[in-house]
Amino acid sequence: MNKIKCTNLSVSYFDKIVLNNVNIKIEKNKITALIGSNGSGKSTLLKTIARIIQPSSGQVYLDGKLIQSYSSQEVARILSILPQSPEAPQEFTVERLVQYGRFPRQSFFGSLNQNDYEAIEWALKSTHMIELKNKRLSDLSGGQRQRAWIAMALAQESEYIFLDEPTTYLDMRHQIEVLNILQSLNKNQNKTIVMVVHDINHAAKIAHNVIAIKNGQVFTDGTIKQILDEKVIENIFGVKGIIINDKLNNIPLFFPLDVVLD
Amino acid sequence: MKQTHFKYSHNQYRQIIIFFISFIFLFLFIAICSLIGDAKINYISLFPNVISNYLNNSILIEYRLPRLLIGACVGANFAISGAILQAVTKNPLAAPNVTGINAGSSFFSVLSLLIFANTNFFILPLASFTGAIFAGIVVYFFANKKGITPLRLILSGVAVDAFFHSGTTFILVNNTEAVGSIYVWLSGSLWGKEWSEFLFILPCSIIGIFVSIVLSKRINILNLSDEVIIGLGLNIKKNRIILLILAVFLSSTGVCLVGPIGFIGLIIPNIMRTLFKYDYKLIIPFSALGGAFLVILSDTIGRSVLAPIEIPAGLISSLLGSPYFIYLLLKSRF
Repeated sequence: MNKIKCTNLSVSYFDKIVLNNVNIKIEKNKITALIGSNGSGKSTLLKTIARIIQPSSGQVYLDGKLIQSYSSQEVARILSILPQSPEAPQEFTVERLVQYGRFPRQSFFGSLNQNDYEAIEWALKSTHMIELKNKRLSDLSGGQRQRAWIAMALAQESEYIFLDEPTTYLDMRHQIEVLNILQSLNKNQNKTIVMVVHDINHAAKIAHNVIAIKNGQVFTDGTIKQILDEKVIENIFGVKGIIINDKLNNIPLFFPLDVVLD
Repeated sequence: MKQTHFKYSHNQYRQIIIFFISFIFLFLFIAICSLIGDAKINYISLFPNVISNYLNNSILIEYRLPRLLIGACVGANFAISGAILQAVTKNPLAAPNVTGINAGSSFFSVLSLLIFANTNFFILPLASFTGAIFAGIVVYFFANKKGITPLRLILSGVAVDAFFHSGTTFILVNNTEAVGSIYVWLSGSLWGKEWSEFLFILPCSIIGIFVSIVLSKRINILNLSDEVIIGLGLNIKKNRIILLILAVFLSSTGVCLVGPIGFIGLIIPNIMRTLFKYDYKLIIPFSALGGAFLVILSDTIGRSVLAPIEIPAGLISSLLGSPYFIYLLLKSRF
């Protein structure tokens, strides 16, 4: 079941073409990882689908309808996005930040009601932030701050959750924490998750599908087992390595050895 | 779950109560300040029927009460205008005095006095109002390039501000005799304000405050970074423009009556933002109160310290405001 579809999607800044004729489908209730090297256009693709960047040409279909046929607020109820470096005043408490996630579901004059408070509580619990809800953002560690932002995206109660490099800048423990949260959201809540990741093994750990972007185009896509191949990875990242099988979880992992000289 | 809910509501109720107590106190403050001034009031003669004696006292009713009530309204307008500008530009230094709105207003006023030398009573407010709107449009025009970013908005504001300031100075330097009286207006004064002017500013303030409070939820969202705002479904450009228009409306209606009263729009929102942690649902109403208090206090001090000479409220508010602002700067962490 393809519920997000992009056809002939192109994006250019001034004269520079960032995305060139991208056609992809994103499956519902699955975790999809967008991978690629720096400047490949994977982040631009994520933002373009989430209507943060306007494409120069091409269409994005959300649940079968053109994304432009929804109002921005309607999109926010279906799709939430956590950008790479989100900013909020450091004086905000976690709870305040998460409350703002309810904005797309409030009426013009409305204030928070019982439903909103339940969603906020659920979002805080799902990200293990309930005990920290009265802390200010300035008092949080990097991993806690990232979870607070994820909680805000969750409070939108959207079917689709987009994340731009949710594990970058975190230490290993916090990276795994974030990945576990995303995995359980997918398993227990059937959320469709689309994320840009740098670490191919993070993709391997939780993603069902992988879309590899190179030079603004789809290089290849498929399941993690199809993508995790020495030759494919060498082509995408310019890194030689070996594939190791994690027998415990039955997933392939990539161990880098050397760079390919240009 | 229940706990979260009740705790939050409880806090909100407390702030609403504090607001209404302060609001009542504002009227008490106005009444007390109206008793202070050059023409001495015989306090004992006001008793025992305080209210009816007060209402029958022509100095209080015809001169002091209207100017103080106007002071309260323009103070609220300037403070909210500053709060909105600071939120939209994401810059704590933004204020009607800095972003060109008041400078445009001043320039047009001085120009009008030069052209229509003898009919200033009607022309001055009109010119001032037009100038503020014109400056707002110019600032927006230069800030807009594929949407308006906070930084470009403030830079454009500062540039337009400097331009109109130099224009004003140029006219003043070259026409010292013709524009002597404009100096009082330029420094922000409540001198000679009448009930008719109060009837103009009151609905402007009420509408401005009401619209600002309704939009405060959106102002809160605008505190976040642009990508997050779009993700939450808020139209950034449309809301920034609406808020800019609102800020210009609030400031221009005030400035056309009393001139640019300094520092109100800068300092009050800064204090309130520190107190209420970027929650504009509270910052807006409390800024309105704070601005009203500061203008009334400034005017009362200005009327009484060197009486019978009157010091414009704008000078006093700057005198009071700048040391406190420096104190805030020293205390802050950045």
